[in-house]
Amino acid sequence: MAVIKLDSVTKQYALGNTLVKALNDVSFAAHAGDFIALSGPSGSGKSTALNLIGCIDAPTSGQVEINGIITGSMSEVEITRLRHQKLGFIFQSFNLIPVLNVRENIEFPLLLDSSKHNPYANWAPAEQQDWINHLIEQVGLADRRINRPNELSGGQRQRVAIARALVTKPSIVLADEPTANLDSKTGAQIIALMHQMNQELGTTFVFSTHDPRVVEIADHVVKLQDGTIIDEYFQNGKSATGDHAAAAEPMAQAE
Amino acid sequence: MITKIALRNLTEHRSKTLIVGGLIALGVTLLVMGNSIMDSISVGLRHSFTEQYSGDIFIYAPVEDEGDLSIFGSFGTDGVQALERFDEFAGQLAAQANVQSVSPTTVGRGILETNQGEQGGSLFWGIDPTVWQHSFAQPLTWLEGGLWSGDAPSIALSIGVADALAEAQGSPIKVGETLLITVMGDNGIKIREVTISGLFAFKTIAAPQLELMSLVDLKTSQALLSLNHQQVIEVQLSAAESEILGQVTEDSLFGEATLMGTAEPDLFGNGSSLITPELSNESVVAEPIALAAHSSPGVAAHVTLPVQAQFAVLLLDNPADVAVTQERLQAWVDANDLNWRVGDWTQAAGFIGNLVGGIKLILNGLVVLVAFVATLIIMNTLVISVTERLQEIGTMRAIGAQKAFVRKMILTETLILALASALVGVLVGTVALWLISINGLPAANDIIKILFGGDALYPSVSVSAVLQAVSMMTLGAVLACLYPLGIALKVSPLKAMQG
Repeated sequence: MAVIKLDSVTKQYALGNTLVKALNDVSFAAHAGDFIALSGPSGSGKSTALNLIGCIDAPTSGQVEINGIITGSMSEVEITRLRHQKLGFIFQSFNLIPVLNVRENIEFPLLLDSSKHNPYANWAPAEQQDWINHLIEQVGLADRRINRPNELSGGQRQRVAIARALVTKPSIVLADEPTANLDSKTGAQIIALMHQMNQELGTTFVFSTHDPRVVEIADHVVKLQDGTIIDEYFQNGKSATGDHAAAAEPMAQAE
Repeated sequence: MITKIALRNLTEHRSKTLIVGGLIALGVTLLVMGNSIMDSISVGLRHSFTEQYSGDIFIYAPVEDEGDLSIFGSFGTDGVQALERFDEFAGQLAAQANVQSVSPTTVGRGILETNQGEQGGSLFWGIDPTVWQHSFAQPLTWLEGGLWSGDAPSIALSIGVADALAEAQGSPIKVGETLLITVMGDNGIKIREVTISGLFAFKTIAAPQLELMSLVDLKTSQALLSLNHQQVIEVQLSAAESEILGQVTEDSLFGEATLMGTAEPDLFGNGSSLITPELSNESVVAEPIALAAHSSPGVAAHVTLPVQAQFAVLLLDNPADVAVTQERLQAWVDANDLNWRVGDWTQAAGFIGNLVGGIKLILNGLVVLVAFVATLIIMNTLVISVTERLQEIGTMRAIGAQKAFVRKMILTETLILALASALVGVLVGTVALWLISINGLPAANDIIKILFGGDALYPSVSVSAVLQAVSMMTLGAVLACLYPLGIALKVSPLKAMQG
């Protein structure tokens, strides 16, 4: 089953008196464990697509499905709960909470929901701490636990963001231009880290990026231009079904 | 986590914290000091009145404008009316729950004339010295003599009045001397001779009238004020006498003669200077006569003339229950269809009691104004703060924080700031009051002297003032954060992150 499905999705914005179509009748699907790159130049609609998948924006028409759940009919509380439990976010500007240190920033999503719907409330405290410590070590920040974001480099902050995105064990992590504010060497390390997490945890990663290195290592590439998909292909041993079958030819080339 | 974020944000954004916290602390300081001083004045004034002359409960007959009436008399056209059927119900009144003593009182103003013909004015209270002594004698300083005993017409002179008379005649006024009191009322001129039993001063001048307030025996004051006094006469009647009484009319009874044949002439006569029919309580006087007419021969008949008082001053066993007792007594009065009004010391104090209430009202009005302005300033500061943190709030919402979480976070921050600042304000206000109370707050003029009950006020921190200040400013801070909170919650996570 597809963990992400966009079905004829269109998104329009009003810009003064003009209606701008950021996405125009876009459809694609992603499976569990995919490492997807939504690529294209600025204004192509890749961030819009990511925001729709992340349920922090709603389509003008069409349907978005996350883990088989159609998000269009959900209330704001339900959508927020879905984001909390099923999705992780990595932002271009890191978006860490300035007054919390590394450990507290990573732990933060686990403490957001005090209702009966919070599945993380059932975690044993020791189990929770072990998981957080594991993530801190995985992202290489064991010696920076008590530092606040303003005491970290860009790359270190993005590592914290990656760990925070993974702490709730989401099925999908959405990364919006995660390397845009990093130097090339750091950017490469971050990409490698996320790929490693994808491989180890089986978490689906969806990137909005114009970084060719991300496109290169992605299993599934969706190329956008002016709000429409101009190309979509699988590589690195992945297929449209999510299997490690022989890679399908890029769609544009097949046509 | 929310408290942790709140505390750290308060430390991180110091300028906002100091502005908002400083305003709240200042507001609380002013409220604590202002209300504590007012409470000290109010408590002091209440004690001055309740312990010196008004008692805890003040019963009076209704007048058209109760604002004109106090224990010092009335400025209104009604004058001070008598409490109807007071003697009939005085015993029951004294037996009511929480009532310790009932002191019948009259009030008047008259001209005093010495043996040497010198005159001076004085206010006077007509009192029963036995009850009054038990209730209110402590606040008096006796310079000579004391209250009278026995039934002889007597007066205890206020030292202010005595000094004025002494100055007029060129020699001191002495205990044992006699004075003539002349009272001019609606019923003409009344004159009585009284003997000076003592010279005194009130320890605290809680009202300007006290400097000229003397004390007169109740019977003499009733005569001067054209109020009846109580006499009980048992008459053994023969059948013929009963028959004769039945034929007696009011005119024939109240012509030239009196019932008592006492040395007090014309008490119930129709002489030009005495009681007019309207004030003689005719129906009550006529009643005993009618009873006598129907009595069997030889049966004793009571001829009872009512004790009249204008006020009943009550001391309570437990003054803290004054409000409840007041309500209960008024219900008892209404059930007995009496013309009495049951008030408290503020009614007795008249203008002074209203003054304290009025000042407190103005102070509270200023406080509300200050709180409103402070709330606006705090609100603007919080709007800026929230706007600066929109991206952070948007991120929280994006990664799964419900609106309730954000609301709780901002309110927690505001409450911590408000309560901490209020505590600082309370401490500063308390220290300031303590410093003031070392030397006292000097009274700038006579009116303030009356309010202070002396030359200086020594205020103390009032618990109610502290609680009111803290709760008002905290509420103000919470109200102030509602608008910026609305801004934070209205912005979508997407827009918030986009800044």
